[in-house]
Amino acid sequence: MSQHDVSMEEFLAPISEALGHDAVPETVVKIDTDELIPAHISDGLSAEERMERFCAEAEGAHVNVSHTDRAGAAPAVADIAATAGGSAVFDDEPLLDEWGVAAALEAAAPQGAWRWDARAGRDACIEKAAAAQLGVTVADAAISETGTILQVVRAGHGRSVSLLPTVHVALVPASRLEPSMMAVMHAVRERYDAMPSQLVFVTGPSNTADIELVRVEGVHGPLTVHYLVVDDA
Amino acid sequence: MAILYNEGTTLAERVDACLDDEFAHKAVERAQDVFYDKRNAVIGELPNWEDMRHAARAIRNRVNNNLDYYVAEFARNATAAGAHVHFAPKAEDALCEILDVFEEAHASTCVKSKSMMSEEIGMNEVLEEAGMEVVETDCAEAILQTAKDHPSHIVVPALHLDREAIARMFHDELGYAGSSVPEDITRFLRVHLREKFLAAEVGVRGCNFAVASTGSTTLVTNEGNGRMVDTLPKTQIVLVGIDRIVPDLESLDLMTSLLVRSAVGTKLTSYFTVDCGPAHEGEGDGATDVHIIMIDNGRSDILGSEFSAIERCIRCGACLNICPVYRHITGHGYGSIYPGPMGIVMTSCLEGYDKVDKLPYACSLCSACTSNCPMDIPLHDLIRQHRVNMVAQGYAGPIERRAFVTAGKVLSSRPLYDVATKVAARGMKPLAHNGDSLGPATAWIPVLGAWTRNRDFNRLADERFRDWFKKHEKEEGSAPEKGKDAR
Amino acid sequence: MQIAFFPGCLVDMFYPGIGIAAVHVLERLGCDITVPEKQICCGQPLLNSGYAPETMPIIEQMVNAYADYDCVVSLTGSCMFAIQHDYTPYLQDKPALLEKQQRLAGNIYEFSDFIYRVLGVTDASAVLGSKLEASATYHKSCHLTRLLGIEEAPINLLKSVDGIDYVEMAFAERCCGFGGTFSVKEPEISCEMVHEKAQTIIDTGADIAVFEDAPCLLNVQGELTRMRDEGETSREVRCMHLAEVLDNR
Repeated sequence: MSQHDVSMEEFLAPISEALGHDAVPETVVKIDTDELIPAHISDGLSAEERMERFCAEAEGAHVNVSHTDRAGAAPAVADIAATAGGSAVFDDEPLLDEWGVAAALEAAAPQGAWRWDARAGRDACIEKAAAAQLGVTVADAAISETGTILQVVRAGHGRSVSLLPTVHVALVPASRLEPSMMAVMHAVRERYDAMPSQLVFVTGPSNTADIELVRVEGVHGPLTVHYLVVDDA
Repeated sequence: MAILYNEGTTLAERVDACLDDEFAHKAVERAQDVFYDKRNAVIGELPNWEDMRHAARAIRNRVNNNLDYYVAEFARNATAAGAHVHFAPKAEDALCEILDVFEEAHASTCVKSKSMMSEEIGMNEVLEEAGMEVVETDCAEAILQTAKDHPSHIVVPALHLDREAIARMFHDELGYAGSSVPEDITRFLRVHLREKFLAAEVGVRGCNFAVASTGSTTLVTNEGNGRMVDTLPKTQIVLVGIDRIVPDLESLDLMTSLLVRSAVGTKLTSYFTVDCGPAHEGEGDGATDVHIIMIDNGRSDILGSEFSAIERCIRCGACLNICPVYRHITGHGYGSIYPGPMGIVMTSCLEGYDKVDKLPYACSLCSACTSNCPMDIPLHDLIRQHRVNMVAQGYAGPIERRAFVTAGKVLSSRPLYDVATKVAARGMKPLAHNGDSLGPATAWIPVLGAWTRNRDFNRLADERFRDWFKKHEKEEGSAPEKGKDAR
Repeated sequence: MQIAFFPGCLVDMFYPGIGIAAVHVLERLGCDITVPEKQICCGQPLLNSGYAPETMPIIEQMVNAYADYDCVVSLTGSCMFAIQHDYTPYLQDKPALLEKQQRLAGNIYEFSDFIYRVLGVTDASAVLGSKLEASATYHKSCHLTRLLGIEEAPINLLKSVDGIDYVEMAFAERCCGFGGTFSVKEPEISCEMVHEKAQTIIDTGADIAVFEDAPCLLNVQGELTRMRDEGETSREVRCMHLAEVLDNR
């Protein structure tokens, strides 16, 4: 039922007219959002206080938070994998190898662990993640203000790992903690030349209150979320 | 569904029906009280909520004042990121574009995350008529879709249904055999919908904020269905109203904070996703074909009108959650997918006065909405402006108009006012019972009866204040007592 | 201190006692009171119903009645807000009237705010000798609380009355459902609202419900009376304006 496609010019004309513009402006005065947006509570906190707030906020969002160092990361994840049962999937992430988490997972997950690999093909990737009990990722950033972590989707880091399994473990390198989403956005801009295809901010397990406002944890995403804060100083 | 449902019913009929629905009425009252406490708690922790509102207002205004520029910037950047951007001046154009995407993808199934825009343009009905399977995946929307019911709230749309009814309906329609415990019903939906997600060819979603500087679309969700829609189907359709644009990534910090705190009383939802173009090489999942449909559908008209402030609205529902009228008539009283104060303003703008009956009068102008609005929209003023326009355009009845014209004359002329108050006071006196009260026996009297059918009215005093004051002034004369108790 | 007093038409017609109490209180505080002959009504019933041009004569009458006074005290918050703010957009093509209205807008005070902030009276018992043995709750009316931001003055004055035991009602700032012509245009909704308000007042167990805006008082009193008459409650709650409480000695 294709009819004529509306061009952007046709689409913009009534908007310009409503605004009293003769034409679409070629430039506008830049909106300085950094200036306009008021300070955040976490801006003024020390590094320790920020970590404290991050953990408290995450716990408030029903995340299981625990702390470890580099050496402790592998056994901690192995513990969770053994308890979760079934199989595991994990991001193709250098830190997971460096900290021995990948090897520990492969040993601990009762039905094996699979490293995310797009070469297996889209359907196989999704199938593996959907069948897994556990998904393991490394947070690319964390936000003190709200107890949030950021997963940047990119090669080797699929969307499904933190979404389809029943349990999600995110290792959170302490050095990546930022005070606010604003600070994280600055970091994203600096780190990536082109916008990643998806930024996923996670704050606790999926949940709903759609039936009589009763909170239920675990809807379409993970039922349980662990943040394993890794002291990487 | 389009914007109005139950078209042809009057406001009065809908209000009667809603007041009779004991469960829905109580459910909304309880929900408001819950939201009230939760919102106050997360706003109370912030030292600068008012500054945040003002900043948000400034940012939204500055975008909307140059919206043509920002729509172009967004479209250019989204295209550069690899998305197909389509332009739909009207709902019908958007529907054509959507059907085209299905045709090109040879698709006949889609999963959908909650999108007010999809409701506004009536997408489900059109797709279903064309033989497509449309699956709502938000819990509440799935409930409404299965029950063939209408939303009663923009954030928690199935608020009016109780767990027993929901369990029964899923039993009848989908073979659900579990209990009426919300957790059991939700687990059932998880399993039932997971299959649909994995099988669907197209994902349809809305967009909370569209970022001009990057061409990103964003979604705020708790259930994770938005992420499923983003992750699993190969083709993705994003419906974006032109009033969703923010300038840059940084502004998302402020906007999400205001939205989530206002909408559900938490600091951030479980998921907030910022999408830019299709999935890249090596990612392994995500949509590979992304279609963004920019929709105007009456918004540019609003932009040029006295209602332009409503273009700042971020659909958080904070005005519903505080509105004392919404509290009693629930979403269904408004007969619109956009209920409550923002709904009165939007619905009247988008549908026109011919179709909304007396909707702008379903408001006591108490201004609670205005003070709760995170975008600082003067909602009650806009509602009153709709009344002014309706009267000016002849939507008031001739009897009412005559009454108000007369009132205008009486209340601006001392001689007329004196006569009117004296006659009325004399007339009311014999009607009073136990002292000064006019009771149910006066319910037959026009206008007065509307009041006294359900509550008493005070009769007019024998001696008005001004009459007393005149005597008092004379008695006081040189005011011997004046100032006697002054400090 | 010379002041021009604006009682509001509702007080003039229905509750002269409230106006009288306010005059007594202000006189006791040393005010020399005038009530301009021409004043009648602020025009809200018409303005809020959408009859803007029809309100013009009322606006003119009102502005002319008070524009020449340096200090105007309004007994009702919503009337004051209308005069201060709601008139402005309709006077844009009437510069002379607009100028007068702007002057008036700067010179007008709400009753409790005037006493508390301008006259600096924070202890009614000490300064006015106000005394009333009763438990009292207070309804925060919409315009006064939200639009004028006056919340402290009436509550603190009430609390300072000798013998008053103050009890806060739940959702005190929620609209009582009056809304001017809303109460008769949408009576079903209005009645649900006032019923809930009356119930929260009854639930406090207070002897008196105190109002700073007479329109709310008219509405809630009517509902409380009806609830008692129909046996819905056995409690007798007396509705009073703050001026009446302050005037009680």
